[in-house]
Amino acid sequence: MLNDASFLIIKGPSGCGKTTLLKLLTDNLLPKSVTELPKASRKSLILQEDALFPWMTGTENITKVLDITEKEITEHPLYQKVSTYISQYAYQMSYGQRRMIELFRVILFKPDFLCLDEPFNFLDPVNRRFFLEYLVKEAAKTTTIVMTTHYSEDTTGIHLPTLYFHGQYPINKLLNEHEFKNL
Amino acid sequence: MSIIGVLLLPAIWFYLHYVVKIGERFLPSPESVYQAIFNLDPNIFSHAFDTLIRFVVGSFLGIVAGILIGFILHRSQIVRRLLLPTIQALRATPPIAAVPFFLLWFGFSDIGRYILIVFGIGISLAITTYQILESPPEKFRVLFKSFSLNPRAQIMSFSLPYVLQEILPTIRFSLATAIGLVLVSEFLGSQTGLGYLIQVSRSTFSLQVVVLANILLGFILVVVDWGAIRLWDKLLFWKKQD
Repeated sequence: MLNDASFLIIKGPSGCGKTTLLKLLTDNLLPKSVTELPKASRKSLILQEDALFPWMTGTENITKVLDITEKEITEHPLYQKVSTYISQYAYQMSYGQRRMIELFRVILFKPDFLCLDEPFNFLDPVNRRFFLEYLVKEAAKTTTIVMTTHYSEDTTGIHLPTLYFHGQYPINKLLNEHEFKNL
Repeated sequence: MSIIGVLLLPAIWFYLHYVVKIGERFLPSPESVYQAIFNLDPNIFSHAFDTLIRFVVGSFLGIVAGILIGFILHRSQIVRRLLLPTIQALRATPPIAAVPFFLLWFGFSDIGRYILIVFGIGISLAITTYQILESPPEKFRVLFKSFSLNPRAQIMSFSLPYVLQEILPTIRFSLATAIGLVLVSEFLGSQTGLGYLIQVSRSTFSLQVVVLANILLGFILVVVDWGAIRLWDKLLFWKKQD
């Protein structure tokens, strides 16, 4: 499934193992028995909890982590989305603002393989939609993206390949849309 | 409420002396302790000042040395393999047990006292710093991996602010250890300081001086501890809105 899609959604109830799967896919957990994992030189994972350094500004959180200049940041089309608060310290930002800086940072990084764990937490509906469309239409051109979400409305109107976790932990089945609808 | 907290101990003292009528030779009266302030030569504040300087300078050197050694242990695998077992073993040794050696090696000089404090608090601070750096939160471990960063190389951007954020409780505990070490070193080999004064007063049964010296020791520790907290508030500006 991963080989066929550049953007894949994973859905399932809380505690079913979505985050664990993303950690396995990005080598943040080592599997005991699974042997085939996506091969990519640059794998990134964005967790639900933001990983900005609170002692740095939004800009520093990008320039100190990526090998990138401030000019490259300001020239990126997404800069307008974060320009009003990117010079503030991360601890001064709202959760939603931190989330957008983090999404902006990973988009600038352009990994080959990107896993996003509930990436739109704390974002308002307009920005949820904006970032989803940007990821699908722009970022997915060069990056394979796997994203988990609880919210069906996030993907309303955009048809994206989706896998469904079936049941609670321990999970042993991931169903495609057809199998899920026929349950 | 905090005023009641501050006055609680003096109130118990007054109660024990004036109501329960515990004798002067077991618990000196507030008046005799007050009189002791003026009856000492050199002045008790001169002794307190010497103790304060030893405490502050020794603690500062111990904190800086401990954090620095912790960073070196984290950065260098060779140093870690060479020194970590020894440092772990030294940590198990109470620093007070090493006082006779420090007296033997350094005599009554202040240098020996400073080295004793650096040794006494530096080792535990080094281990704590090393452990803080070795086990960052998962979100930062994932961040380093996601962006192909070497966490051991992120000294100014991550390691130093993160250690400062996490180490304050250990520093406060170390300050209490340090003042104990200053006192012991003054008991055993000094001609000035509150420890020396307590030692001399104990042998002459001048309990009012012992009580006075203890009050000043408590005051010194509280003030320095308060100063450390204020300093950390300034350094960790990002914690104010957490």
